[in-house]
Amino acid sequence: MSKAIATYDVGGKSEAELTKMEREIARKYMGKLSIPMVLWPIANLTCWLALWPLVFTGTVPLWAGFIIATINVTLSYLPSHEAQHDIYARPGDKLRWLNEAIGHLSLIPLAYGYRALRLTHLEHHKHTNKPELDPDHIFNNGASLWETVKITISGYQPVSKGSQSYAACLERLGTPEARRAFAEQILILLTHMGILFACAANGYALEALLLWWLPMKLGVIYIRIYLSWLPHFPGHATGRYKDTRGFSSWFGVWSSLGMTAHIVHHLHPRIPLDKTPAALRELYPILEARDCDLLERQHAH
Amino acid sequence: MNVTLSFTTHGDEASFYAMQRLIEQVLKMMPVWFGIGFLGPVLAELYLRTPLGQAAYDNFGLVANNSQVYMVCMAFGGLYGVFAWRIGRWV
Repeated sequence: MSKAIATYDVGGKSEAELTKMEREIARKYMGKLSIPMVLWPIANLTCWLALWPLVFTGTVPLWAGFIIATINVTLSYLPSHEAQHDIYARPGDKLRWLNEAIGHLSLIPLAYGYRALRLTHLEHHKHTNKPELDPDHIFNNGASLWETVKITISGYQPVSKGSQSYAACLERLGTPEARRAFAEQILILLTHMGILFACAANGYALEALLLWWLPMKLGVIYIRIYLSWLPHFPGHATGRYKDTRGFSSWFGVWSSLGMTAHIVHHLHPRIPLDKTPAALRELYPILEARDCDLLERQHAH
Repeated sequence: MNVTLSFTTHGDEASFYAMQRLIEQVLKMMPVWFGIGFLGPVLAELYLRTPLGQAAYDNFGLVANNSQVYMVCMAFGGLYGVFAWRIGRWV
């Protein structure tokens, strides 16, 4: 796949023609199982689980375990995010079990429930940047990076709008599935706490702190910045071609976990994450014609 | 039979709501449990497993055995948890 931004001419094309072209290009990137996206959660979860015995036995020093665990926890969300959009396999497909397994298991380091995140994330897609309906909006409207960090940290407080945003979304949905997701989330929270307490009771409180609790807090800050705030900044534009934007990342597209091409994900959520930069390069002229908030060609991707 | 059933259902419903209230209360008080069960032991281990304990002895002549350190730290964690629970904020 070419790394150059596409240069085809879309001048004079009607809205319907642009839509048709856009769909045809997007379809090329969908429907195939992405092997890197299957290997990612398996490697990430295995590494994080292996850290525990390795640190407990002194094979890996705790400080190194902390750094690796922080990377693992940060990387644990996106495979589940792929599953939330049925990217690995759709309902009824032969590999549906894989989609659901990755959805649930990859979130273990984040101590979050797949169902709760899927339902709230789909609401985010439906209502991006709408203050009352987008459960992520509270984290997306920070005026600066520091304010976004502060908003995320305030979400860790026992009583805060941030900490209640997803629960409020599930309550608003009010479906049996939403109630199940909520109950599941409580169970996961209690299990997570139970494991932390058990570690503490056995003299491993610092290990639990540095392999799970603190990496989780730091990972969520990173995820909030790159997966929520930067792609939707300034957080008030709505509409299919307006609510997400292109941005550059200091260390390239993968330091943003592929989020510099997040606009492609919002337009065509079933394109696998590792294909979104290529899809953005090919869709660029169409998105440009639609007046999307993109980086200039030479910086786009 | 119907009467028995209706009583049973009513009883089940009452116990369901009692259980729900209990779980809600336990969850609301999570900062307290977190303070006692995790934050306290973390502080105790910081004191006992890092040079902090030695520094406390060198500078302030503080001498305490493991149980005393755990007890003080867990009491502090619990009180801090009560503060977070009542105020709604850790910091």
